[in-house]
Amino acid sequence: MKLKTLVVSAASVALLASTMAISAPVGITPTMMESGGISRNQDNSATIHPAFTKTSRKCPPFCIQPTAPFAPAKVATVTELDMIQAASDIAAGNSSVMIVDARTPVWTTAKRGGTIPHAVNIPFNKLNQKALDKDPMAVVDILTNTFGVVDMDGVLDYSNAKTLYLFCNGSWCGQSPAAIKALLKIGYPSSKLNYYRGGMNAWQSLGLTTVGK
Amino acid sequence: MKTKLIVLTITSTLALGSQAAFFGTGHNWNNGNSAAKSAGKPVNIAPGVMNVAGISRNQDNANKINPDFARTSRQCPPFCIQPTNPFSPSQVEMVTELDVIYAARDVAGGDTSVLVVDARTPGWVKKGTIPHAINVPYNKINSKALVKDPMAVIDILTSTFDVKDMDGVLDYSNAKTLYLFCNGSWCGQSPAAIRALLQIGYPEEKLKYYRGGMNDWQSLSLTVK
Repeated sequence: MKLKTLVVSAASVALLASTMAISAPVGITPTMMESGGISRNQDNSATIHPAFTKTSRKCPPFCIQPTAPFAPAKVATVTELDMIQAASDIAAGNSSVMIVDARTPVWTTAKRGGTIPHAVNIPFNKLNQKALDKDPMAVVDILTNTFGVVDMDGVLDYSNAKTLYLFCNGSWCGQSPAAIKALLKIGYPSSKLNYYRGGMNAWQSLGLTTVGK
Repeated sequence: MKTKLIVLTITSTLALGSQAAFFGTGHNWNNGNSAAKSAGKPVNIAPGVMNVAGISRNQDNANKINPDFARTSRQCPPFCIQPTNPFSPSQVEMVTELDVIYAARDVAGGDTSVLVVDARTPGWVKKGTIPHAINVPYNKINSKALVKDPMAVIDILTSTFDVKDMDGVLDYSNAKTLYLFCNGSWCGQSPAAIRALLQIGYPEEKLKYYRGGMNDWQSLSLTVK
Protein backbone atom coordinates (compact mmCIF):
# COMPACT_ATOMS: atom_id res chain seq x y z
CA MET A 1 0.00 0.00 0.00
CA LYS A 2 2.68 2.39 1.06
CA LEU A 3 4.83 1.24 -1.82
CA LYS A 4 1.98 1.88 -4.23
CA THR A 5 1.56 5.44 -2.96
CA LEU A 6 5.27 5.95 -3.35
CA VAL A 7 5.15 4.70 -6.92
CA VAL A 8 2.19 6.92 -7.72
CA SER A 9 3.87 9.97 -6.27
CA ALA A 10 7.09 9.18 -8.12
CA ALA A 11 5.05 8.95 -11.29
CA SER A 12 3.39 12.30 -10.68
CA VAL A 13 6.76 13.91 -9.96
CA ALA A 14 8.03 12.50 -13.22
CA LEU A 15 4.95 13.80 -15.00
CA LEU A 16 5.41 17.22 -13.43
CA ALA A 17 9.05 17.25 -14.44
CA SER A 18 8.22 16.40 -18.03
CA THR A 19 5.48 19.06 -18.15
CA MET A 20 7.97 21.59 -16.87
CA ALA A 21 10.55 20.58 -19.41
CA ILE A 22 8.12 21.08 -22.26
CA SER A 23 7.37 24.62 -21.17
CA ALA A 24 10.95 25.94 -21.25
CA PRO A 25 11.03 28.44 -24.13
CA VAL A 26 13.23 27.70 -27.12
CA GLY A 27 14.33 31.02 -28.56
CA ILE A 28 16.34 31.67 -31.70
CA THR A 29 18.62 34.02 -29.74
CA PRO A 30 18.26 35.16 -26.11
CA THR A 31 16.13 38.09 -27.31
CA MET A 32 14.36 36.67 -30.38
CA MET A 33 11.60 34.07 -30.32
CA GLU A 34 10.37 34.61 -33.87
CA SER A 35 11.39 36.42 -37.02
CA GLY A 36 9.87 36.43 -40.50
CA GLY A 37 7.47 33.64 -39.44
CA ILE A 38 10.38 31.46 -38.34
CA SER A 39 10.70 30.06 -34.85
CA ARG A 40 11.91 26.85 -33.21
CA ASN A 41 9.99 23.75 -32.21
CA GLN A 42 8.95 24.45 -28.60
CA ASP A 43 8.79 20.81 -27.51
CA ASN A 44 11.93 20.38 -25.44
CA SER A 45 11.94 16.65 -26.10
CA ALA A 46 11.64 16.95 -29.90
CA THR A 47 14.16 15.09 -32.01
CA ILE A 48 15.40 15.81 -35.52
CA HIS A 49 13.19 15.05 -38.55
CA PRO A 50 13.73 11.41 -39.61
CA ALA A 51 14.90 12.49 -43.07
CA PHE A 52 17.98 14.02 -41.41
CA THR A 53 19.12 11.33 -38.97
CA LYS A 54 21.33 9.50 -41.45
CA THR A 55 25.04 9.97 -40.91
CA SER A 56 26.70 7.85 -43.54
CA ARG A 57 25.54 8.39 -47.09
CA LYS A 58 28.24 7.28 -49.49
CA CYS A 59 31.02 9.70 -50.36
CA PRO A 60 31.47 10.50 -53.15
CA PRO A 61 29.07 12.12 -53.83
CA PHE A 62 27.95 12.98 -50.27
CA CYS A 63 31.31 14.30 -49.07
CA ILE A 64 32.08 16.83 -46.36
CA GLN A 65 32.22 20.26 -47.97
CA PRO A 66 35.16 22.55 -47.21
CA THR A 67 34.57 25.72 -45.19
CA ALA A 68 34.81 27.82 -48.36
CA PRO A 69 34.59 25.63 -51.45
CA PHE A 70 34.93 28.65 -53.75
CA ALA A 71 38.36 29.98 -52.86
CA PRO A 72 39.85 32.24 -54.08
CA ALA A 73 36.36 33.73 -54.76
CA LYS A 74 35.11 35.32 -51.56
CA VAL A 75 31.66 33.83 -51.13
CA ALA A 76 30.53 34.28 -47.52
CA THR A 77 29.68 31.11 -45.61
CA VAL A 78 26.62 32.07 -43.57
CA THR A 79 24.61 30.46 -40.77
CA GLU A 80 21.03 30.24 -39.52
CA LEU A 81 20.85 33.78 -38.17
CA ASP A 82 21.82 35.21 -41.57
CA MET A 83 19.20 33.02 -43.26
CA ILE A 84 16.53 34.10 -40.78
CA GLN A 85 17.46 37.74 -41.39
CA ALA A 86 17.23 37.22 -45.15
CA ALA A 87 13.83 35.50 -44.77
CA SER A 88 12.59 38.41 -42.63
CA ASP A 89 13.80 40.87 -45.26
CA ILE A 90 11.96 38.97 -47.99
CA ALA A 91 8.81 38.75 -45.84
CA ALA A 92 9.01 42.52 -45.40
CA GLY A 93 9.08 43.05 -49.16
CA ASN A 94 12.79 43.44 -49.80
CA SER A 95 13.21 42.23 -53.39
CA SER A 96 17.01 42.58 -53.47
CA VAL A 97 17.45 39.37 -51.48
CA MET A 98 16.53 35.80 -52.38
CA ILE A 99 16.83 32.47 -50.59
CA VAL A 100 17.49 29.68 -53.07
CA ASP A 101 16.82 26.06 -52.22
CA ALA A 102 19.11 24.41 -54.77
CA ARG A 103 17.85 20.87 -54.18
CA THR A 104 15.79 18.78 -56.55
CA PRO A 105 12.04 19.34 -55.93
CA VAL A 106 11.42 15.99 -54.19
CA TRP A 107 13.57 17.13 -51.25
CA THR A 108 11.38 20.15 -50.62
CA THR A 109 8.25 18.09 -49.86
CA ALA A 110 6.86 17.87 -46.32
CA LYS A 111 7.71 14.18 -46.20
CA ARG A 112 11.40 14.97 -46.68
CA GLY A 113 11.25 17.78 -44.16
CA GLY A 114 10.13 20.72 -46.31
CA THR A 115 12.18 23.83 -46.93
CA ILE A 116 13.05 27.20 -45.37
CA PRO A 117 10.15 29.70 -45.36
CA HIS A 118 10.36 32.26 -48.20
CA ALA A 119 12.88 30.14 -50.14
CA VAL A 120 12.41 29.58 -53.87
CA ASN A 121 13.36 26.25 -55.36
CA ILE A 122 15.84 26.38 -58.22
CA PRO A 123 17.30 22.91 -58.60
CA PHE A 124 21.11 22.88 -58.85
CA ASN A 125 20.95 20.94 -62.11
CA LYS A 126 19.38 23.96 -63.82
CA LEU A 127 22.29 26.16 -62.75
CA ASN A 128 25.37 23.96 -62.65
CA GLN A 129 28.25 23.48 -65.07
CA LYS A 130 26.40 20.78 -66.99
CA ALA A 131 23.43 23.10 -67.53
CA LEU A 132 25.80 25.84 -68.71
CA ASP A 133 27.43 23.47 -71.21
CA LYS A 134 24.15 22.09 -72.44
CA ASP A 135 22.00 25.19 -72.74
CA PRO A 136 23.58 28.44 -71.53
CA MET A 137 20.56 30.47 -72.64
CA ALA A 138 18.32 28.51 -70.26
CA VAL A 139 20.65 29.48 -67.41
CA VAL A 140 20.66 33.11 -68.56
CA ASP A 141 16.86 32.97 -68.58
CA ILE A 142 16.85 32.04 -64.89
CA LEU A 143 19.30 34.84 -64.17
CA THR A 144 17.19 37.46 -65.93
CA ASN A 145 13.74 36.17 -64.93
CA THR A 146 14.44 35.30 -61.32
CA PHE A 147 17.67 36.91 -60.08
CA GLY A 148 17.24 40.44 -61.48
CA VAL A 149 20.18 40.23 -63.88
CA VAL A 150 19.71 42.37 -67.03
CA ASP A 151 20.74 41.03 -70.44
CA MET A 152 22.14 44.05 -72.37
CA ASP A 153 22.38 42.65 -75.88
CA GLY A 154 24.31 39.62 -74.70
CA VAL A 155 26.28 41.34 -71.93
CA LEU A 156 24.97 40.49 -68.48
CA ASP A 157 24.53 43.46 -66.17
CA TYR A 158 24.62 42.44 -62.51
CA SER A 159 24.21 45.89 -60.97
CA ASN A 160 20.65 45.12 -59.82
CA ALA A 161 21.16 41.39 -59.35
CA LYS A 162 19.70 39.98 -56.17
CA THR A 163 21.85 38.88 -53.26
CA LEU A 164 21.38 35.11 -53.13
CA TYR A 165 21.48 32.83 -50.10
CA LEU A 166 21.92 29.31 -51.46
CA PHE A 167 21.58 26.07 -49.58
CA CYS A 168 20.99 22.35 -50.07
CA ASN A 169 20.94 19.47 -47.60
CA GLY A 170 23.92 20.49 -45.54
CA SER A 171 27.62 20.02 -45.04
CA TRP A 172 27.48 16.68 -46.89
CA CYS A 173 25.74 18.15 -49.93
CA GLY A 174 27.50 19.45 -53.02
CA GLN A 175 24.44 20.73 -54.89
CA SER A 176 24.39 24.37 -53.80
CA PRO A 177 28.21 24.58 -54.05
CA ALA A 178 27.91 23.32 -57.66
CA ALA A 179 25.32 26.01 -58.41
CA ILE A 180 27.47 28.71 -56.81
CA LYS A 181 30.54 27.60 -58.78
CA ALA A 182 28.61 27.89 -62.05
CA LEU A 183 27.16 31.28 -61.08
CA LEU A 184 30.66 32.57 -60.35
CA LYS A 185 31.82 31.27 -63.69
CA ILE A 186 29.10 33.09 -65.57
CA GLY A 187 30.04 36.32 -63.79
CA TYR A 188 27.71 36.58 -60.80
CA PRO A 189 29.49 38.86 -58.29
CA SER A 190 30.88 36.90 -55.31
CA SER A 191 29.69 39.70 -53.03
CA LYS A 192 26.11 38.81 -53.97
CA LEU A 193 26.47 35.09 -53.26
CA ASN A 194 26.13 33.51 -49.82
CA TYR A 195 26.56 29.84 -48.96
CA TYR A 196 24.52 28.36 -46.12
CA ARG A 197 26.72 25.32 -45.60
CA GLY A 198 24.71 23.92 -42.68
CA GLY A 199 21.69 23.68 -44.98
CA MET A 200 18.55 21.72 -44.19
CA ASN A 201 20.42 19.35 -41.88
CA ALA A 202 21.54 22.15 -39.55
CA TRP A 203 18.15 23.88 -39.94
CA GLN A 204 16.31 20.71 -38.91
CA SER A 205 18.76 19.98 -36.12
CA LEU A 206 17.77 23.30 -34.54
CA GLY A 207 14.04 22.61 -34.91
CA LEU A 208 13.50 25.70 -37.08
CA THR A 209 10.24 26.27 -38.98
CA THR A 210 9.86 24.58 -42.35
CA VAL A 211 7.23 24.75 -45.06
CA GLY A 212 6.32 22.11 -47.62
CA LYS A 213 3.49 20.21 -49.20
CA MET B 1 15.79 -21.03 -58.27
CA LYS B 2 17.37 -18.40 -60.40
CA THR B 3 15.99 -15.64 -58.19
CA LYS B 4 17.39 -17.36 -55.13
CA LEU B 5 20.79 -17.52 -56.73
CA ILE B 6 20.74 -13.82 -57.52
CA VAL B 7 19.74 -13.02 -53.95
CA LEU B 8 22.60 -15.14 -52.68
CA THR B 9 25.04 -13.37 -54.95
CA ILE B 10 23.85 -9.97 -53.82
CA THR B 11 24.12 -11.02 -50.19
CA SER B 12 27.67 -12.22 -50.58
CA THR B 13 28.63 -9.08 -52.49
CA LEU B 14 27.27 -6.99 -49.63
CA ALA B 15 29.13 -9.10 -47.09
CA LEU B 16 32.30 -8.72 -49.10
CA GLY B 17 31.76 -5.00 -49.40
CA SER B 18 31.36 -4.57 -45.67
CA GLN B 19 34.46 -6.65 -45.01
CA ALA B 20 36.46 -4.69 -47.48
CA ALA B 21 35.34 -1.45 -45.89
CA PHE B 22 36.19 -2.80 -42.46
CA PHE B 23 39.66 -4.02 -43.30
CA GLY B 24 40.36 -1.07 -45.51
CA THR B 25 39.94 1.49 -42.74
CA GLY B 26 40.77 -0.25 -39.49
CA HIS B 27 39.67 2.46 -37.11
CA ASN B 28 37.43 2.89 -34.10
CA TRP B 29 33.81 2.82 -35.08
CA ASN B 30 31.62 5.62 -33.96
CA ASN B 31 28.79 3.40 -32.85
CA GLY B 32 30.24 0.04 -31.92
CA ASN B 33 27.87 -2.45 -33.50
CA SER B 34 27.17 -0.94 -36.87
CA ALA B 35 30.21 -2.24 -38.72
CA ALA B 36 28.73 -5.68 -39.22
CA LYS B 37 25.66 -4.20 -40.91
CA SER B 38 27.65 -2.08 -43.33
CA ALA B 39 26.01 -1.70 -46.69
CA GLY B 40 29.44 -1.39 -48.16
CA LYS B 41 29.33 1.85 -50.13
CA PRO B 42 32.39 3.76 -48.99
CA VAL B 43 31.79 6.83 -46.83
CA ASN B 44 34.85 8.97 -47.31
CA ILE B 45 35.68 12.23 -45.57
CA ALA B 46 36.40 13.83 -48.93
CA PRO B 47 36.76 12.15 -52.34
CA GLY B 48 39.70 9.75 -52.01
CA VAL B 49 40.24 10.53 -48.32
CA MET B 50 39.03 7.70 -46.07
CA ASN B 51 41.08 8.13 -42.92
CA VAL B 52 43.12 10.97 -41.46
CA ALA B 53 45.04 10.38 -38.23
CA GLY B 54 42.61 7.70 -37.09
CA ILE B 55 39.57 9.80 -37.97
CA SER B 56 37.06 8.40 -40.44
CA ARG B 57 33.30 8.07 -40.83
CA ASN B 58 30.98 5.28 -39.80
CA GLN B 59 30.78 2.99 -42.85
CA ASP B 60 27.25 1.70 -42.22
CA ASN B 61 25.19 3.52 -44.85
CA ALA B 62 22.09 3.04 -42.69
CA ASN B 63 23.63 4.44 -39.51
CA LYS B 64 21.70 7.16 -37.66
CA ILE B 65 22.88 10.02 -35.53
CA ASN B 66 23.79 9.38 -31.89
CA PRO B 67 20.54 10.04 -29.95
CA ASP B 68 22.33 12.52 -27.67
CA PHE B 69 22.62 14.76 -30.72
CA ALA B 70 19.17 14.21 -32.23
CA ARG B 71 17.49 16.72 -29.92
CA THR B 72 16.38 19.93 -31.58
CA SER B 73 14.82 22.05 -28.84
CA ARG B 74 16.83 22.58 -25.72
CA GLN B 75 15.71 25.75 -24.01
CA CYS B 76 17.14 29.06 -25.23
CA PRO B 77 18.55 30.80 -23.32
CA PRO B 78 21.02 29.29 -22.69
CA PHE B 79 21.05 26.95 -25.72
CA CYS B 80 20.67 29.65 -28.38
CA ILE B 81 21.77 29.69 -32.00
CA GLN B 82 25.24 31.17 -32.20
CA PRO B 83 25.93 33.91 -34.76
CA THR B 84 28.27 33.29 -37.68
CA ASN B 85 30.89 35.46 -35.99
CA PRO B 86 30.14 35.86 -32.28
CA PHE B 87 33.43 37.72 -31.77
CA SER B 88 32.99 40.60 -34.17
CA PRO B 89 34.82 42.94 -34.62
CA SER B 90 37.57 40.43 -33.72
CA GLN B 91 38.36 38.30 -36.74
CA VAL B 92 38.23 34.83 -35.23
CA GLU B 93 37.96 32.41 -38.10
CA MET B 94 35.00 30.02 -38.18
CA VAL B 95 36.22 26.60 -39.28
CA THR B 96 34.57 23.33 -40.24
CA GLU B 97 35.22 19.60 -40.01
CA LEU B 98 38.00 19.48 -42.59
CA ASP B 99 40.01 22.15 -40.77
CA VAL B 100 39.58 20.36 -37.44
CA ILE B 101 40.51 17.00 -38.97
CA TYR B 102 43.72 18.48 -40.39
CA ALA B 103 44.50 20.15 -37.04
CA ALA B 104 44.02 16.78 -35.31
CA ARG B 105 46.33 15.20 -37.88
CA ASP B 106 48.97 17.85 -37.14
CA VAL B 107 48.66 17.23 -33.40
CA ALA B 108 48.96 13.48 -33.97
CA GLY B 109 52.03 14.12 -36.13
CA GLY B 110 53.80 15.94 -33.32
CA ASP B 111 53.09 19.55 -34.31
CA THR B 112 53.08 21.34 -30.95
CA SER B 113 51.97 24.69 -32.39
CA VAL B 114 48.37 23.48 -32.76
CA LEU B 115 45.81 22.30 -30.20
CA VAL B 116 42.24 21.06 -30.57
CA VAL B 117 40.38 22.17 -27.43
CA ASP B 118 37.15 20.58 -26.25
CA ALA B 119 35.71 23.40 -24.12
CA ARG B 120 32.88 21.33 -22.66
CA THR B 121 32.54 20.16 -19.10
CA PRO B 122 34.10 16.71 -18.45
CA GLY B 123 30.74 14.90 -18.27
CA TRP B 124 30.16 15.64 -21.96
CA VAL B 125 33.71 14.77 -22.91
CA LYS B 126 33.31 11.35 -21.34
CA LYS B 127 30.51 10.61 -23.82
CA GLY B 128 32.93 11.07 -26.67
CA THR B 129 35.13 13.75 -28.14
CA ILE B 130 37.26 14.47 -31.20
CA PRO B 131 40.42 12.35 -31.38
CA HIS B 132 43.56 14.25 -30.31
CA ALA B 133 41.50 16.96 -28.58
CA ILE B 134 42.32 17.98 -25.02
CA ASN B 135 39.65 19.05 -22.55
CA VAL B 136 39.86 22.56 -21.10
CA PRO B 137 36.36 23.21 -19.70
CA TYR B 138 35.04 26.65 -20.66
CA ASN B 139 34.36 27.55 -17.03
CA LYS B 140 38.10 27.45 -16.34
CA ILE B 141 38.85 30.08 -18.98
CA ASN B 142 35.71 32.24 -19.31
CA SER B 143 35.21 35.78 -18.04
CA LYS B 144 33.88 34.51 -14.69
CA ALA B 145 37.07 32.51 -14.21
CA LEU B 146 39.10 35.59 -15.16
CA VAL B 147 37.34 37.69 -12.52
CA LYS B 148 37.51 35.05 -9.82
CA ASP B 149 41.06 33.84 -10.22
CA PRO B 150 43.01 35.33 -13.12
CA MET B 151 46.19 33.53 -12.06
CA ALA B 152 44.47 30.17 -12.52
CA VAL B 153 43.60 31.19 -16.09
CA ILE B 154 47.15 32.35 -16.72
CA ASP B 155 48.39 29.02 -15.40
CA ILE B 156 46.39 27.27 -18.14
CA LEU B 157 47.74 29.69 -20.74
CA THR B 158 51.35 29.09 -19.75
CA SER B 159 51.19 25.38 -18.96
CA THR B 160 48.92 24.26 -21.81
CA PHE B 161 48.84 26.92 -24.55
CA ASP B 162 52.58 27.83 -24.50
CA VAL B 163 52.05 31.46 -23.55
CA LYS B 164 55.05 32.90 -21.66
CA ASP B 165 54.64 34.93 -18.51
CA MET B 166 57.45 37.53 -18.68
CA ASP B 167 57.26 39.00 -15.20
CA GLY B 168 53.55 39.63 -15.49
CA VAL B 169 53.51 40.48 -19.20
CA LEU B 170 52.11 37.68 -21.34
CA ASP B 171 54.13 36.85 -24.43
CA TYR B 172 52.03 35.15 -27.12
CA SER B 173 54.71 34.82 -29.78
CA ASN B 174 54.90 31.03 -29.34
CA ALA B 175 51.31 30.55 -28.25
CA LYS B 176 49.56 27.60 -29.83
CA THR B 177 46.87 28.00 -32.47
CA LEU B 178 43.69 26.76 -30.79
CA TYR B 179 40.73 25.06 -32.47
CA LEU B 180 37.92 25.37 -29.93
CA PHE B 181 34.58 23.61 -29.99
CA CYS B 182 31.71 22.57 -27.77
CA ASN B 183 28.38 20.89 -28.56
CA GLY B 184 27.57 22.82 -31.72
CA SER B 185 25.71 25.78 -33.11
CA TRP B 186 23.41 25.81 -30.05
CA CYS B 187 26.29 25.89 -27.57
CA GLY B 188 27.79 29.05 -26.08
CA GLN B 189 30.60 27.42 -24.12
CA SER B 190 33.47 27.60 -26.59
CA PRO B 191 32.38 31.13 -27.68
CA ALA B 192 32.54 32.19 -24.00
CA ALA B 193 36.04 30.74 -23.72
CA ILE B 194 37.15 32.48 -26.92
CA ARG B 195 35.78 35.83 -25.73
CA ALA B 196 37.72 35.59 -22.47
CA LEU B 197 40.88 34.56 -24.32
CA LEU B 198 40.52 37.60 -26.59
CA GLN B 199 39.98 39.78 -23.53
CA ILE B 200 43.18 38.57 -21.91
CA GLY B 201 45.11 39.27 -25.12
CA TYR B 202 45.24 35.97 -27.01
CA PRO B 203 45.90 36.88 -30.67
CA GLU B 204 42.73 36.45 -32.75
CA GLU B 205 44.61 34.81 -35.61
CA LYS B 206 45.56 32.00 -33.21
CA LEU B 207 41.94 31.30 -32.30
CA LYS B 208 39.61 29.18 -34.47
CA TYR B 209 35.95 28.50 -33.76
CA TYR B 210 34.49 25.16 -34.83
CA ARG B 211 30.85 26.28 -34.61
CA GLY B 212 29.40 22.97 -35.83
CA GLY B 213 30.98 21.25 -32.84
CA MET B 214 30.10 17.76 -31.63
CA ASN B 215 26.62 17.96 -33.15
CA ASP B 216 27.94 18.31 -36.70
CA TRP B 217 30.78 15.89 -35.96
CA GLN B 218 28.23 13.28 -34.86
CA SER B 219 25.87 14.06 -37.73
CA LEU B 220 28.71 13.15 -40.11
CA SER B 221 29.51 10.07 -37.98
CA LEU B 222 33.15 11.05 -37.62
CA THR B 223 35.27 9.05 -35.19
CA VAL B 224 34.87 9.87 -31.51
CA LYS B 225 36.98 8.64 -28.67
